[in-house]
Amino acid sequence: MEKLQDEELIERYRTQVGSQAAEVCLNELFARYHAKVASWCLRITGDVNSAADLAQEIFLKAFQRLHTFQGNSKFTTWLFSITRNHCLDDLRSKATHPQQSSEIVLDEIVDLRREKVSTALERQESEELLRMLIRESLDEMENKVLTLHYVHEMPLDAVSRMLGLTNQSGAKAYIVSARRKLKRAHARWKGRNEMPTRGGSRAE
Amino acid sequence: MLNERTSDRDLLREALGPTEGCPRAEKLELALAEGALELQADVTEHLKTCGYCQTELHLLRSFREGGTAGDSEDVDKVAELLRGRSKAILHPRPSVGEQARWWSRAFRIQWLAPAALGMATVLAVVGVAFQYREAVNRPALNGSLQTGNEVLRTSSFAVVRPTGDLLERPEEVRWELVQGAAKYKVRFLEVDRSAVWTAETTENHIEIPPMIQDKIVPAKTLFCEVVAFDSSGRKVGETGLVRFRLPLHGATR
Repeated sequence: MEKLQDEELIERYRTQVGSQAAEVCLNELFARYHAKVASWCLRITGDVNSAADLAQEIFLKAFQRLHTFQGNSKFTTWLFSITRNHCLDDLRSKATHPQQSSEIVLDEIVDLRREKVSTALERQESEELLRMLIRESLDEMENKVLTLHYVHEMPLDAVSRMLGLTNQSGAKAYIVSARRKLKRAHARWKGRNEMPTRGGSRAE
Repeated sequence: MLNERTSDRDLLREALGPTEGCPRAEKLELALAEGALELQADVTEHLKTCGYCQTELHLLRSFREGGTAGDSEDVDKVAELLRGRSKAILHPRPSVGEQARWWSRAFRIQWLAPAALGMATVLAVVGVAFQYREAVNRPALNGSLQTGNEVLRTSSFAVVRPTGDLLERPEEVRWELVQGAAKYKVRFLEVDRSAVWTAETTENHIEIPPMIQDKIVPAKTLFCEVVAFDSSGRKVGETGLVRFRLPLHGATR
């Protein structure tokens, strides 16, 4: 049993569901992955008991849905998707107020949006511009911190644990640094794009 | 206007979020394979510039590498708690629906079991006989018929709701009628493109089951996609992925 691949275990479970052999398969999957799920949940919650509750819910969900595993990916990837989505849903359902970094607003980006808020097309352009500025000016870690915090709505302490940040202020320092860099990059972009207009005005 | 972004947070979320070009998890996992030889060139290129996918890859890697011997004592404590609950995890109590399933109960009542089994056998025989008759009476196709190159066209149509940032949790999905469509397939997807809900209907709207509505939680981005099929099962239109979300503030339910 221990030599079987995850996917083979699931196949065996499916063909013998309800039997003792199927139960052995589930046991083996649980034995292989419970520490990984535990570790991930602990990084999300930062608390032993909450992490255990979360991990228990994840295994219940995964085993209930085992028949939907189609083998398009590895079992680890499938279990990871369930773990990640369940943890993020849990974080969102518990978020009752804006997270602490909401105050760290990107002033220049506010200006950018105010300039171009009139139509959907212009909003799209703002988004494209911001994507470009992020790509050009942020390093990989800053990008990851921003993605986890703004896209996945992860609190800053969870981001720090998830990325293994050991500096004193953790993820917050990266957000502040990213803010400064984006501010400067936007100023440079503005300078580049305003020059031809000014030149044009003088010519008139 | 509902779809208008209201904060920096939203603008950043959009700019940092996934794009149409982001690969699905099963493609992304190849980047973690030894040597990553199987990784397609387009995915490699995409990974170089996409911060979202780099983050996804980091999360996947950290999941796979987690729970090893070098982890903290706290991880061991969580793992130990989990092992203590393994009975509840591996033998969950059946849901209310399962408890109430009538046919299951019928097989459990001793005197009724042979009758139920007999009835099931009769139904199976009737089904097979019916299938056989259908197969015998089915007209043969003329293999010499030439119809030329088949041209398949699909058109795009719009999801009416839910789209963009919503004021309240949606109770139905509604979309534009498609000429010639006999059936529509509706899907809700997570940002990693894993399916949350799939349903089919012949109407141009469908109710979202309460269980799925519960999954539409504030600040969670989901995608909706509707595909139209004609009576022969051929795809005649699709909406593409339409993003929607219940904002953290402003949800009324």
